[in-house]
Amino acid sequence: MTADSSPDSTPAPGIPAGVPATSRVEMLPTAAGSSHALLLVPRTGDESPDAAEVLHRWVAETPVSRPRHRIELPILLRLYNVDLVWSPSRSAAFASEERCASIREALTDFTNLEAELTAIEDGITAAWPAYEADLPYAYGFSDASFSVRDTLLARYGTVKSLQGRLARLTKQITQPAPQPPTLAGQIGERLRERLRVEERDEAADGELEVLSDHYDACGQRASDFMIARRENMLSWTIIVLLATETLLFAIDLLSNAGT
Amino acid sequence: MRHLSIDILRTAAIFMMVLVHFVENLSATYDTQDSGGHPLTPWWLPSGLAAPLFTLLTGVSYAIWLGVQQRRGVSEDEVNRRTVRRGLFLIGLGFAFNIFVWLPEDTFNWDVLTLIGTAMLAFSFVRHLPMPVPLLIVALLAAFAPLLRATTDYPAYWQNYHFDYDFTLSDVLLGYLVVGYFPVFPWLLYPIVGLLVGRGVFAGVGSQPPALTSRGLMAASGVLALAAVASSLLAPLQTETASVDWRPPGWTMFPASTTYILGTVAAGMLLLGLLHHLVDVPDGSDDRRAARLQLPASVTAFFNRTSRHSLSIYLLHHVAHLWPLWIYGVASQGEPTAHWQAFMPAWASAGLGVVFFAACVPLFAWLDRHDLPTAESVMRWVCD
Repeated sequence: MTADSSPDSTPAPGIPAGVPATSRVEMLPTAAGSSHALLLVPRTGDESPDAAEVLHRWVAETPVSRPRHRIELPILLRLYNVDLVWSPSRSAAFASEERCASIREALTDFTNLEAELTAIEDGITAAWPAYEADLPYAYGFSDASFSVRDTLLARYGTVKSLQGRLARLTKQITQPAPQPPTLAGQIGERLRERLRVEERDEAADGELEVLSDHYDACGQRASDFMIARRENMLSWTIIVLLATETLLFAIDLLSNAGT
Repeated sequence: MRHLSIDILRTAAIFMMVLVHFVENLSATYDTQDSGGHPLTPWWLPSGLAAPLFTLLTGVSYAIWLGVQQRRGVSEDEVNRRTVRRGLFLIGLGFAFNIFVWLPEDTFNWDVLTLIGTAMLAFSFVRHLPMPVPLLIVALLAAFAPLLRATTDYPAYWQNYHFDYDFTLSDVLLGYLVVGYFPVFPWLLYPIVGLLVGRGVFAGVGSQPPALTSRGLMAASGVLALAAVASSLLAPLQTETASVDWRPPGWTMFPASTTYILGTVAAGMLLLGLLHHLVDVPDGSDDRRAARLQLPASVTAFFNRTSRHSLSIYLLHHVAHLWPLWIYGVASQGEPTAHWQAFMPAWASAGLGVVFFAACVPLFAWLDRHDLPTAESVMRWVCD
């Protein structure tokens, strides 16, 4: 949705009061399917001194927090004569019109990246209670644990999927900033820094390694158990057949002895 | 945890056993002694279900007992020891029973107690086997039984409807394996099928649902019933002992024909599935009232007590009707078995059986109240 307004009209719905009427709200698509509202306020030169405060309040209207990382939101950035306020669901920029495209590009990229990282972190957090419950299966597997095999397989798949998603994300996180520096590149870099994206990526990687090792071990035990079970079944089948043959032979002997 | 379905079925099995033994031991040839015929009629057919049901339930109960031991954290070694001790106890009790009740010449008649004892010994290793292997054992027991009976000349061991053997090693062993009353081939399959059914239907691990529902069990029984009908239709092609006129073609208990095995296993599974569906608490529910069919507490208590004391009732009912018969035989003709199977009309012996069964209810209530020993409590004391 784009809300354009003429300079003399009242602000369009969704645009906060106290910002120039030429401001507009754009919805940025995210990979997760949700949307991110971006308020672009063109710098005219006669804006009120508390305009940045208005943007901050507007962004803070939809509270989203990152308590796990003790990051206070929204984040306020000032660079290259751009005032930028960012939160995971909303952001606002106070910048000259020609910079809006770069800002949009930078925020789309970063918001997607951060949303994906948060989704991976949520997945990891959700996996820990199951990890604790599944600890015994990494040591050994038995008939009693046979019924949880499908559950373990699903958890293994979840962890491996998270690991794959994180690996792809790490590639994005660690790619070098464009040279010479651009506004979009700088915004992305600052936001990554403020949201501790690299540290979070490393932490998530460490956690996923533990989870992955654990479910690898579970998978190995389950696989060993299934192979042993199959061999065991085959061995017992042979033993039963041999025992039956012996018994038949003995009965035949006894029968002949009787006559 | 007790399952009312099992209590009801075991009560039915022991009641049928009491009735069968009273009638067959006191009256089987009363009306036709001169001709040596067998007077029983089609209404007697369900009585053939008593021993299969009793042995099938042995396996089901063992599976439940095993689940309880595992939940209590009893070690595998200890479970094995208890299983083997129970097996040996029952075999010993079986021999003592044969000697004291059937008199020493029938020591090795291989009655149901020695079969259940053997089943217990078999359980100690069968329980460790993956599912297809016990099924293979069941199939082998059923498939080889008729062949082995042909090899061993089964009819030669059976005179006038009872097992007649010589005190030789070959006869004793063949009696145990093939030609006795309840030989390993094929009778061991009932407890093993019971173990598999018990594991599938009753012994769900923790919150895991059972592998087999009561509907699944009834469906399986339907398949077996169809197989029994097919086997019965093919009976004329078999060369084994023909069944008497009033029974379905190919239906013989001694020897246990394929038709009989399929039919009784199907009936046992059908009854168990049906009762489990109706009177047991549905899985996953803690509410006792959640059972589909509520029985009065006094009725439930009756089934529970009778089921718990089924072994004692089995032993006692033989003593109650056979010892007086032996004593009277010695007193009147100098031969204990002089009046065996020909002592009174069937209606009278059936009535006596019912009276005995009715008398068991207050008797075992009294024994329970005074905490007096029974066969079951002695077995637990010795084996557990």
